[in-house]
Amino acid sequence: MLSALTSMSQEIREIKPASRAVLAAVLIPTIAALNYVGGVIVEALKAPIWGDTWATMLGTLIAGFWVGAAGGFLYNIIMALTVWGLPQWVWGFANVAIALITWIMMKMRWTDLRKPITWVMALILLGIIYPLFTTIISIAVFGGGPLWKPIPAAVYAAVLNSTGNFFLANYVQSLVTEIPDKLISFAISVIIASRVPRRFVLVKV
Amino acid sequence: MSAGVSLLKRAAVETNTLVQRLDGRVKFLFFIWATLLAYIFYDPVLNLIIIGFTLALAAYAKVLKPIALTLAIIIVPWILFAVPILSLPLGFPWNKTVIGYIEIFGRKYPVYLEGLGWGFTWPLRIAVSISTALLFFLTTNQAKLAATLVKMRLPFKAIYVVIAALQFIPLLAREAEVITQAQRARGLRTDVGILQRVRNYLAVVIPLTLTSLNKVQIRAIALESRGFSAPVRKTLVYETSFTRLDYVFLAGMAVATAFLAWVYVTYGYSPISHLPWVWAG
Repeated sequence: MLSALTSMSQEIREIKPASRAVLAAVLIPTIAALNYVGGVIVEALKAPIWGDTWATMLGTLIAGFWVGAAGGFLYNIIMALTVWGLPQWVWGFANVAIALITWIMMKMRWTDLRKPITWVMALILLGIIYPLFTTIISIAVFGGGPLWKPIPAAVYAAVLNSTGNFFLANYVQSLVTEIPDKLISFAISVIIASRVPRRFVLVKV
Repeated sequence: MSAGVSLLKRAAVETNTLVQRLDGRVKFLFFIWATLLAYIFYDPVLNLIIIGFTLALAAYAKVLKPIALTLAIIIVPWILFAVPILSLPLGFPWNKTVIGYIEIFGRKYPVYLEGLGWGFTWPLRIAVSISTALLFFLTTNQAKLAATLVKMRLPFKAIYVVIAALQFIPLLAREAEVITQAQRARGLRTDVGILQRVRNYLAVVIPLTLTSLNKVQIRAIALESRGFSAPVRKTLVYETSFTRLDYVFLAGMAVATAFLAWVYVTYGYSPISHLPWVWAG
């Protein structure tokens, strides 16, 4: 009787409501939608960030690189096909880069916000190296140029005027927006990931 | 972003005009075709002609307002920033040709053609892409969109992921509104310092994420119960096929392509504005 109960409880524990592949298939559009709604909430609360990449980081932290990257890429594809204009789909690769950096940070265990190393590496990887990637895309695909937000556009004009260096103007403009946005987004995604129930965490660190 | 909020919450407009009756694949092809044209040519006037034609179709299909509003929010500020920064002597590296002078605070500054051309052409290229994409999106309902994607031979799981994301966005946006209202009722304020605003963001985003993750499992079970992973051929609610209207529209695009190819060969990449070359122009 006892052995029957034990085997039954094992059987119950092993039953999963849905396979990992199906959970991942549902998580990907959820991440894309959370990225979108994150941007909307930023507008509503006037938060000082873009707020549309933290879900990519969260997806990577709870479900692995491919789910995070696919969710982030999908978000960019949907925005490119609707609100931003088709050529903006290339920013999907920026979301893949963010998923990759988050995955590296997770594997290296740089996700404890109380440790200075986490902030230093986040600043280096997300704040300094990642904007290099976005600057190259911005110049190669879109010809560079100022953003349509006043502060980055003013920084762009000031750097271009004082140095005459087109690449530097684009890079510094990118730094101004990316350093606060990506550091805050990373912190948000780590805080949320730590509160997500275990049953949703598909990734093994 | 705020223009996008109202847009992606909006379902396709269901009226019985020629634009709505066009097959989704034809409208999608028009979007790709117009975007490619805007990038092959480097001419803001040609872009304006394409935008004008698209807006006329949008007005006929009763979707002019959201498209015009999006263009006004995204494109107009972009032009207002880009034109003065790039056309005045602020260091845009391809500036050479002075087309006039502008007086600012008693001092005369040259206005350069290269920067002026860039400042108008790039935002208008994006405007072409946005307006044609929205024409497709706002005049094709989601069931027909799924059928269109199946006809394009996209994998079934990829189609589900795209359609599901489009469905989740308005649902999550509504939940975010409810959570924000609830938090405001408990004293959440927006007229606070930067750090507090980030905390406010967390106060909305954490419950939103946890509720949406709870729904992930329910959706996954629902999908499995409908044979999502089953290795069988999936059936569709709508079947789409080309009609005479679609062939007429495609023929019009073919004629326009032939004409524009002749224009490109004869007059070059900037046939109306005669803009000089700049990097990525």
